Amino acid sequence: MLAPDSGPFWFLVFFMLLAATGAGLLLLAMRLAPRGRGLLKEETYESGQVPPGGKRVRLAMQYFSFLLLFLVFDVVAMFLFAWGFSFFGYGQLQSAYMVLLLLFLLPPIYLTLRVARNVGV
Amino acid sequence: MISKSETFVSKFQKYGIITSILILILILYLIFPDIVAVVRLLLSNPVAVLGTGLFKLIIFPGLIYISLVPLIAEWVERKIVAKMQVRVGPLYVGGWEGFLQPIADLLKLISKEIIIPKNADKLIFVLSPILVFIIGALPSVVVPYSPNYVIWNYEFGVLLFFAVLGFYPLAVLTAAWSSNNKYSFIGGLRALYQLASYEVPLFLATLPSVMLANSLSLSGIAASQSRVWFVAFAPISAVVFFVAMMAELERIPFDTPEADSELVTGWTTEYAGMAWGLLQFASYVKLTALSGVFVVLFLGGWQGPAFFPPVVWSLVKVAAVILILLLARGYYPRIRIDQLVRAGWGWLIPLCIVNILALVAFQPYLAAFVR
Amino acid sequence: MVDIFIPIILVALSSIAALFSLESKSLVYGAISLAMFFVGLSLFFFYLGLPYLAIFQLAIYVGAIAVLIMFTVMVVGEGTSREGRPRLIVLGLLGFVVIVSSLYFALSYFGSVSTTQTQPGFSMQLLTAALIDHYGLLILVLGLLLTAAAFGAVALARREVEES
Repeated sequence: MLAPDSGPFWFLVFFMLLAATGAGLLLLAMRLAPRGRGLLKEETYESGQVPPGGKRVRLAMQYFSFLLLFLVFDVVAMFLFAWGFSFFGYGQLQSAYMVLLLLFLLPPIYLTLRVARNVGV
Repeated sequence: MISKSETFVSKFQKYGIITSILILILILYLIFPDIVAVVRLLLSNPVAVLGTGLFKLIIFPGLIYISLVPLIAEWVERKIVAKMQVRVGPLYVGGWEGFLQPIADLLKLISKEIIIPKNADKLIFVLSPILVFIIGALPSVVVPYSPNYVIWNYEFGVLLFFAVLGFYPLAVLTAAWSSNNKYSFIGGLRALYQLASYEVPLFLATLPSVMLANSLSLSGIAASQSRVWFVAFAPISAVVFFVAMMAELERIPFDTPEADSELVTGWTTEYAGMAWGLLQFASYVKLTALSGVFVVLFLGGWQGPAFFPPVVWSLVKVAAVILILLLARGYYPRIRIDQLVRAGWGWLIPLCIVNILALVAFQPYLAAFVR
Repeated sequence: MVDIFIPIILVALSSIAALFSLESKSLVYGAISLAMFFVGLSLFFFYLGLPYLAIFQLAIYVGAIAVLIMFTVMVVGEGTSREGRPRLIVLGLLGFVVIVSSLYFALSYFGSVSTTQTQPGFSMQLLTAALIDHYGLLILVLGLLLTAAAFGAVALARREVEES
């Protein structure tokens, strides 16, 4: 599988090369750069204010439904690629299955956008 | 008194250098036969070196190329945006028009301290930029610049490209969360919403090219455009892909995650020095990869009149696409996050579906053009 | 020789990631190692010569599900404490050692899995033919199911937003 001079082999080497490059740049900067004195530099940046409140921030999940839709669309897209691969091998009638699969997903998008508008997002 | 961050930095240096050296030794061990072969070729037939896997890995579509393009692109961007805003831009470094300014920036970033906030999750905070860089650069492995110049001519290149690009939100989220900063976290969530919303149009806009080429490999798609470029059959998809690409890159009309007038610099707020530089580098490397894919999917890849070699055609087209992407920075205002999400789901996805439906409707007539 | 070690390394890495995702104190670290476990699983599919399945795994499990889990953990916060739970790490490690060693002995007994056996002639044409010719109607059912799931998701998320 990982024969020398094959695609996956170069992929693996490229991956390791990128990791070494990124880590190398960071380490070089850590070695070369002077260290600032004083602990004020380690405060959380909040435009000069002393950060109030707790350690972690929590936020409302306003757009959570869009993330769930993204999950559904990802699955459908993978099926669509399997069909798109032999598009000319099938007639329009057989392509209709896949097109319908795609069209089924339009009502949920419409509903999500409606709900988002009602909630005021 | 030595703070926790300081001790972490010294520990990270110690173990980081050991790990990096081990990785380098492993790389050298793996590619040692290739190095020997390249040295032998250099002595006998230097031109043949250009076709070896090692050359492709290190120099042309590989490491040197993807690190040179950001340097050039940054200079061009600053110069062009300055001209549009009646400024002069970089002027002094390197003599002519300050063309060495990016190198100076790089040196400046390397010589700056990487500050680790005391509330940050320090390990993830330091590892995230490396992860973002790897994920931004890894997809360019499957992007072809000519029939020969591609590191991995993979049968399922399109899918692998977008699958690896799909990890990007993961790395952004870890970077945003580990900073433990309000600006970072809001920026990270915005980035997640944006990347997730625009990945679907990106996927669906790729489908027409795959359908027309009957191939899932990027080389196959480019090769099947020898008669007509696919932008002729899928103009809507091309536009959608371009817009979604801009959003994926978090560039100016879609820079809500980094919104510098609201969120300092979004999810990169706490990063300083080379860590920030690495994140910026990753975004430009991703820009190169996505432009390369746009050219392959819609603009015919390396196809063109024969008076230039194929590689030159790809490079010219990629440069043109990058230039248009950079120009957008000069004349668009930022759009709000709700407008952005609504545009992605309400406009781009239906437009993609329209293009796919049109292809299905005209299927019998298309076959004559494509084959 | 290398042929024996690739699956063992993959199994070892993914099971360590899986164990860590169950046992780590911090939920975010758990989510990250869950993503790593998914990557390891997809590498295993690559090894078995099933590239489409592997990329499916990468795109959906890592690119969407792991991201969603991480997002939820980060937004909701580390509310539930994981203290006071029976530590199953020892049991997990034991199972891990048993699996890896049995895999090693099986592979070395039956000889390394040759490439012709590990790649059962995957072809995209066969996959598409199966999808459209045999399971065309089922795909429609799947589409309806996904639509229903999407509606349900929207309804759930809507209630959450109204509550918050």
